[in-house]
Amino acid sequence: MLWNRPMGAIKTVYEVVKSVILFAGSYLQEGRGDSMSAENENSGNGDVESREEGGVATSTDRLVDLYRNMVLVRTFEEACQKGFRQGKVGGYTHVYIGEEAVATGFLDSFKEGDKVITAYRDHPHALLLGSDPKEVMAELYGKGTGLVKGKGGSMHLFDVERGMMGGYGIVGGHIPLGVGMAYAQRYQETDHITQLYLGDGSMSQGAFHEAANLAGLWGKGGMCPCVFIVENNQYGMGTSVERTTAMTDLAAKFDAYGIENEKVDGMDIEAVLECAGRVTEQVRESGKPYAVEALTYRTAPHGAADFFEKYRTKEEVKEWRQRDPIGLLEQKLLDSETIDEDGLQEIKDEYKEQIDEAVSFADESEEPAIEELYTDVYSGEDEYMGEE
Amino acid sequence: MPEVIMPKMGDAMEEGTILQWLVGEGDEVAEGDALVEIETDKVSMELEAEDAGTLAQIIAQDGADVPVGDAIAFIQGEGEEVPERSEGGGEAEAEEGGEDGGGGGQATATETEEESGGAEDTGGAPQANGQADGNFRASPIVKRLAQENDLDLSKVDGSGPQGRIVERDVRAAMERGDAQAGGEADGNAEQAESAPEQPAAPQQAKAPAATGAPGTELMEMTKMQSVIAERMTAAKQTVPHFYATVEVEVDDLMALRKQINGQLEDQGVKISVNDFVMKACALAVAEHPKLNSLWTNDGIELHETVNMAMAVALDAGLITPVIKDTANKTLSAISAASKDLAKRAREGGLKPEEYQGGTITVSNMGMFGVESFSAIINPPQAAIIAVSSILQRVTVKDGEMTPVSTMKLTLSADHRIANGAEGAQYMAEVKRLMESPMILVA
Amino acid sequence: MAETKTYREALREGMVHGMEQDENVILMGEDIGVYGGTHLITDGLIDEWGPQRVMDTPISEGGFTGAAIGMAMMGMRPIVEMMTWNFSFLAADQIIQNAAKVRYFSGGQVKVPLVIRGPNGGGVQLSAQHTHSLESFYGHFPGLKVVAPVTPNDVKGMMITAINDDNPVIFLEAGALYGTKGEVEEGDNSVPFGKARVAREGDDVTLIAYGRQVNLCLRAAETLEEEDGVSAEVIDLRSLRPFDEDAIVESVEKTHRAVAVQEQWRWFGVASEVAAIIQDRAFDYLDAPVIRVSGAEVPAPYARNLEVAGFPSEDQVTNAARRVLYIEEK
Repeated sequence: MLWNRPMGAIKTVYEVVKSVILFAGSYLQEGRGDSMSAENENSGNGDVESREEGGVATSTDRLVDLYRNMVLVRTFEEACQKGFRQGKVGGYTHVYIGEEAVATGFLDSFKEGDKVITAYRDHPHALLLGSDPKEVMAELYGKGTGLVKGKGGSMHLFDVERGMMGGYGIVGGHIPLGVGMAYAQRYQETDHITQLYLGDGSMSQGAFHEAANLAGLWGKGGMCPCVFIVENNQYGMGTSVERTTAMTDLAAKFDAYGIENEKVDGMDIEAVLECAGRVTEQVRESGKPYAVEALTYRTAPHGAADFFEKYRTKEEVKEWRQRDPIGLLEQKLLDSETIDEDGLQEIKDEYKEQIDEAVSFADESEEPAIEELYTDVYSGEDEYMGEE
Repeated sequence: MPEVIMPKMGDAMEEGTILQWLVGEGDEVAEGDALVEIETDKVSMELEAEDAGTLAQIIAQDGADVPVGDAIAFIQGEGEEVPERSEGGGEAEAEEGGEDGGGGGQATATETEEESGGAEDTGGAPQANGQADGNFRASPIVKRLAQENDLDLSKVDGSGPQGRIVERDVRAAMERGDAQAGGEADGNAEQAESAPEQPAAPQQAKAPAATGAPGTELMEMTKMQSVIAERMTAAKQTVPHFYATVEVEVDDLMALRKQINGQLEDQGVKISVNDFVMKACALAVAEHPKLNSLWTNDGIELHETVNMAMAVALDAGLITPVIKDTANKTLSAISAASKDLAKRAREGGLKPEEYQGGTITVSNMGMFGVESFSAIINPPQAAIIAVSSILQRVTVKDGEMTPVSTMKLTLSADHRIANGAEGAQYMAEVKRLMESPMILVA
Repeated sequence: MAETKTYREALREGMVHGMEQDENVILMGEDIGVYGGTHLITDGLIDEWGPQRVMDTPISEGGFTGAAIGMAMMGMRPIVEMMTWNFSFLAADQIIQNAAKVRYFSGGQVKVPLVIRGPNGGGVQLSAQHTHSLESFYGHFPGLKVVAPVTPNDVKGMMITAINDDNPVIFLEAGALYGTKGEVEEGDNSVPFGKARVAREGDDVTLIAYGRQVNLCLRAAETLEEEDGVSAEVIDLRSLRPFDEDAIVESVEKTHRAVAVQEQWRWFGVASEVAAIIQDRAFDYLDAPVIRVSGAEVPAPYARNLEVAGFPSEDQVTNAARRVLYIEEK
């Protein structure tokens, strides 16, 4: 498996980022950096971790649950890559390996009625909201039992009942939708919120800027309970953040639209958890949008495979793997003697088995009935306007 | 003299409404003075004078709707005169879709076929024969009709672009019955000639070769002329004609006509004597249905509806447009139809269905001062009525010499269909109707 | 009951009807509230319905159209105004990639009851960037519905139908005709999509159009009647997706000749689709090739005479009809 435990001194995410990106001196805003540093100094505490500011206690049971969630995602993604390489998964597929702490931490704050929308790296969001891994895998395998009946594939996972409003394939194109959903949540007088995930690459798109502007505007009247979660994995495909914008402080870009923002160490599940809990409640309360830039890293290729050595070095990847979110949490759980190696292995085996089942299910499922080609184009009677 | 025009105040503005003039005719105005309040469906504004002078004339009064760009007033500078204007008010109605549609030929008009002919292809004159290259150029509906009706398209000439056989060609051929597969028809269908073909091919009259003598000139026959020649020859040779002439007193009819035309002058109605004749001939058929019938291969086909063909002389020959259901039409309707058909016949603008389907024919030479004449039957119809000029005569009534206006009507009828007595009785009925003309307007 | 109203009033009435029925119906767009709308379609509505129902947006077509799609996926029924359809290219990614397809790629889990409306077509000297007829552009994409009403009664009735439709509807208004008047039925006069309107009955040739070209065809039909004694049928398609194939097929089966008229460019346009449908379904009834009359293949010019020359003219339509009738052009 592609996860590493930390070896020797663990750098903070900022130190790692610094080593990758030649960022401006203003990259870390005053106060936030301090907070992050404090948090990292505190890591390695026992069963309860308290934070300097607004800290929440994370019980060991909860940490184990989060660990399980991350292992679910990791195991699924690895099976997905395998399926792609076997030719069972078609089209594009984008895995979340290395970034698990971000979605796992934020979706821990998900409440029923909330909505989640993201781009095409969307498998973990569906899985963490409770979609059946069998159906998700069957979707990737292009089967009629898939989550969206084999009509969307990897990039378009929807589970509307569970709040998963979709994965979208055009970089940045989904962001206005998420803002509109948040608006609707207030217009319809609910206290639900929208978790809007976006990548660093999407922040160069006009759609992002237009949507952020609307969110800030509507938020003035408490009409946009939207959490922007920037999954900054440092690269839009093969182009690093610093090669796409002179203003590499992505969180600070939200300042332009009057949206409060902060950064979080996206490799540290506890940091994410704390941030998510606090931010989602604030947004739920205020109806104003909030943006979190989660600094993270995709240790896997952009798609199932890419030109690995062209845009980043093995050394860089290796360095980030030292901060693999699952590895970090394993170390913490072991150090605190919450769980032993056997316990960890048991969890991994459990998910390996579950995902193996999902793969078998996907493999053995029937392809969609050919009639399905023509359905779901329109809602209502005149569903199809062509010749069958 | 400067015009004050209805200004354009928005991108979709077509017209504006004069709400209220703020100055009156004869008032002095300075540049920039508010002249008038104008309203559109979107905005209202005060229109200011762009010129100084006297408001010489207000063309559009309060409440008037005026198209953008039209003059609403004139301002008279020193030494200028107000131009004559005949239009009043500028009260153009807002017309739905009033946008300008007149335009040049810049935009594209295209056919879906490569053989999109230019104007020279579409003049209606027959061109290359449909089968010239061994393939019939025929429109889809023609091919379908040919199949459904067992027609041989090699016997039909195409009048469309590059000789394409089009619907009107095949409809005319079906009417004539000369395109039946295996039939004897000569394939010389002429679209502008409606006279149906003979059931049997006529014997061509033997004619000598041209003499070529000095002082002679050989006139080439037009296609229409050849077809007429053939048809008339065939009719005269194969249809046993008989004739019956009646003399009709038309003083009452003329008086009635004068009265009607006088009263309907405002409506532009001018009923001709021939319209009365056609109405009478059509009504008389009721008692004598054989005269409104067709000689067919299967027997005599009596027609309930009278579709009156009227012979119209053309420079190129003759054509017989048809007034449908003449018996049930009013005189003014017959009049309107006959004028329209005659006009368009002369312009070559008749559609096939307008010169096909006649059941009886009237031929009028009254305008030429003929005392009487006999016409050749228009096969397969049973009858044709020849209408001559109205002449003044003296007759003896109640022992006194009395001047009367009379006209002669001569029936030519197909003896295979009706005998002489039947023809005579029919003509007597026509005479009775014309001499009691109130019946014709009843 | 029917009253004479302008196209603009009828359109507004249709939207207000929708707002009265369902508070999920909101209006969104640039300057539609306080300003009253660039074309005054929404004039006065903010006073009655407030800024939540009549929402002014920033100049941000992609943003607010996308947000409206998100709202629609949540059960709201937004009506988005494109100040003109020319600006919709900025929102095309949202309309095409999200609104049109999200139902399909979600396996039918969501629907997008959204109306996007605004003036379409040219005719008022707005030149190249502000003159487009986008019916074939949007009509190309499955998942969208596209309508183009031309009469005041239809614009109201089709707006009511659009609001009640659970799919994204591209509502193309005849911008040049906002001020024209016609009889408009009171109350709910829903006009179904996918049903063409026979604007004039005739026997000899079928003129097929939509939007303001319908009026052009009606004028051409009058001319043909007067000058040529030709009886032309005029069909107002009014709904382009779904498309009433039967209406044109039935008409051509009667008349045997057809001319399709569109303001847009010829290539890949609606008229080509009309021609294809006719040859496909009424081939054996045709007496002549179907002629398309289209706009000139140029970006729209500014000068009035050039603009007029660049759009289909009555002469072009009448002569096209004469050509399919094989009678002399004038």
